[in-house]
Amino acid sequence: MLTHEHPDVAAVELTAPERIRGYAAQGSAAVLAEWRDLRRRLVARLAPLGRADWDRVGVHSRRGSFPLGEMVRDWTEHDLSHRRQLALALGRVP
Amino acid sequence: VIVVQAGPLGEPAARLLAATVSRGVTVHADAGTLPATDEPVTLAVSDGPYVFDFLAAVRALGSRRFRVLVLSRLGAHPDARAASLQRLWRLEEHVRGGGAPTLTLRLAPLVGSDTPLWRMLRGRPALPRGGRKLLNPIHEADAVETLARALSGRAAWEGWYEVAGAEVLSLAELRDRAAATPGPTAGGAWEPPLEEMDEHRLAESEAWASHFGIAPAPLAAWAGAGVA
Repeated sequence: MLTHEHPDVAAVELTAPERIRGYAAQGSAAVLAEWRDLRRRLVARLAPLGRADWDRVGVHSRRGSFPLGEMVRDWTEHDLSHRRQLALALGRVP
Repeated sequence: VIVVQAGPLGEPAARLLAATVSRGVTVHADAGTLPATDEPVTLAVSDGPYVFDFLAAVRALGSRRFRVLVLSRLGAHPDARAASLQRLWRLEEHVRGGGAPTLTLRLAPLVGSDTPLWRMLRGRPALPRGGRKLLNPIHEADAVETLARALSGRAAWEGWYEVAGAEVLSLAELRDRAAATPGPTAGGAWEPPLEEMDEHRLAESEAWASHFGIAPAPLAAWAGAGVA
């Protein structure tokens, strides 16, 4: 989205069987480490962006026009939602 | 009754919450201004210019017991075309997965002599496809009453409801009714946006009306029966 005009962005089926198969066998520490690394790289890529960059639009296969800023807020809220679920599973929140 | 907003809520959520203040509800923009008591609070969530961090919001409440109020809108769906409806669905989902007592209200277009939508329609705007879109508008006073009854405990805090009137009217019929009622057009707005209304299906009013014990105000009762 940062280098092409209106690129196609494919929807990801988050709960597709082929995607979640094997989740239970993965170690939590390794998964978290991988996630941290991915997010660190993402933040490094996004940090220098200006307003015009955040307004760049991709064409999502399900949602249609999708500005980068909206997409990143979507990812962030998704991450934060799972953080709440992790805290609940660990008994660390009311 | 204490309500804390999860962030700077957009309309109509902010306006509806503000209207409950006269009914004894205290609304806080964030947890920072809460009184130093252990009174239970209601965390209000809707769309707006913020990132929803459920865990941080709950932690900010300290040891207080809390429940969640989601002020969503008709049409919220993961595959909606309108980005605002997609986000409302995500917010509903984030809260549903968050393990707290939750009441979700999906609001229909709010009408009434002073609502932004009514003011907009009063100005006889051009309508897409001749205004054939069918809607289940609800009087804003009924939506405020719903909130007041929920917050005060007069209705069980559970489930999700389409807060929508029983009458079905086309957008053109609404415009003609609005144009026939005296009043200002300043401050008019498409609330919800036209792109959202375009995705509305006919709503199920009965579940909401019976749960909250409300008989929705018929349009003719306040806007007159005639069409201009």
